[in-house]
Amino acid sequence: MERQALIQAMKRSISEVLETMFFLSVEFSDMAVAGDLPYSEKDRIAATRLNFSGPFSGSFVLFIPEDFAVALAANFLGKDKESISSKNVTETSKEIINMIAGNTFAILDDQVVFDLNIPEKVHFEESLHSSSSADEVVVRSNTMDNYFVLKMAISR
Amino acid sequence: MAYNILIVDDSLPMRSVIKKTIKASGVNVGKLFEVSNGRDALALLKKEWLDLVLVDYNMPNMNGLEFIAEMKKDELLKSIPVIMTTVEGSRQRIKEFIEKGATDYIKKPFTPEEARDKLYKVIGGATDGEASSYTGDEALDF
Repeated sequence: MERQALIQAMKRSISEVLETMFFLSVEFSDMAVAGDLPYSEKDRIAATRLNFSGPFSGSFVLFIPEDFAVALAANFLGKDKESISSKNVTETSKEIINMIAGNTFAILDDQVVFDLNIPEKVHFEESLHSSSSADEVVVRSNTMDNYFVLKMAISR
Repeated sequence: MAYNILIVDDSLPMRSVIKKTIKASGVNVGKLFEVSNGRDALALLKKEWLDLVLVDYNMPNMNGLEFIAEMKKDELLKSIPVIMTTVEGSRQRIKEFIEKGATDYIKKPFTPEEARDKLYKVIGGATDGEASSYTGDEALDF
């Protein structure tokens, strides 16, 4: 799979999910690897992973600063930020990565089938670096006052 | 006629969004139920009269297709319309949903208008077009 095609599909998917479900517009900036995320922020970044298999296999990992994740959960649930629980944040992050992953594959080629596993919350540090047997594609998305990072690791 | 609707999704935020969409759609809703898994949904279906089920495809333990297969085994449940809610965009997978008993599907992410149109299409079809006086141009906000 061509790297540029993957990046474009991920960007379009992110835009569609954020604009359609959260009414947020995003801009993108280049980021070489997820390891460029500031380690000093590790305690305030939530990580969610979704494994997939199909014509190629691997995983998506979504890194969202906690305060942004709370705002997204509040937006999704129609509640005040103060009433959002950590479970709400986790479930919203899982739903976001689920939609972005499914939509990315549909954009890439709607004739092929990918199986998506159930998303799971993971530790920031264990999900930051891909294994040496995986190719990594990273997209950083910026909103007006926050950001998140989506990594796709493809097994070789 | 008021329609009793069941939402089956393991994600509380997604159930919340779907509930808001249904309430804002103009569909005349009687009872609106929600459960987080297929097993609870089947138990509820045996206790309550339901006119429509919206079920997520990608759920742990029992996915949307397995849920539909269980419904189809039951004479009383097999004719209830089911809309699959899914992030799947593969044409092959969508075809499989329909072949295995889903009445229609809603692909996530969805706009309120897309979801509303599917609801009317399915409920209208299930009731010979007597769903409502929907004209397709009402404003719909989350």
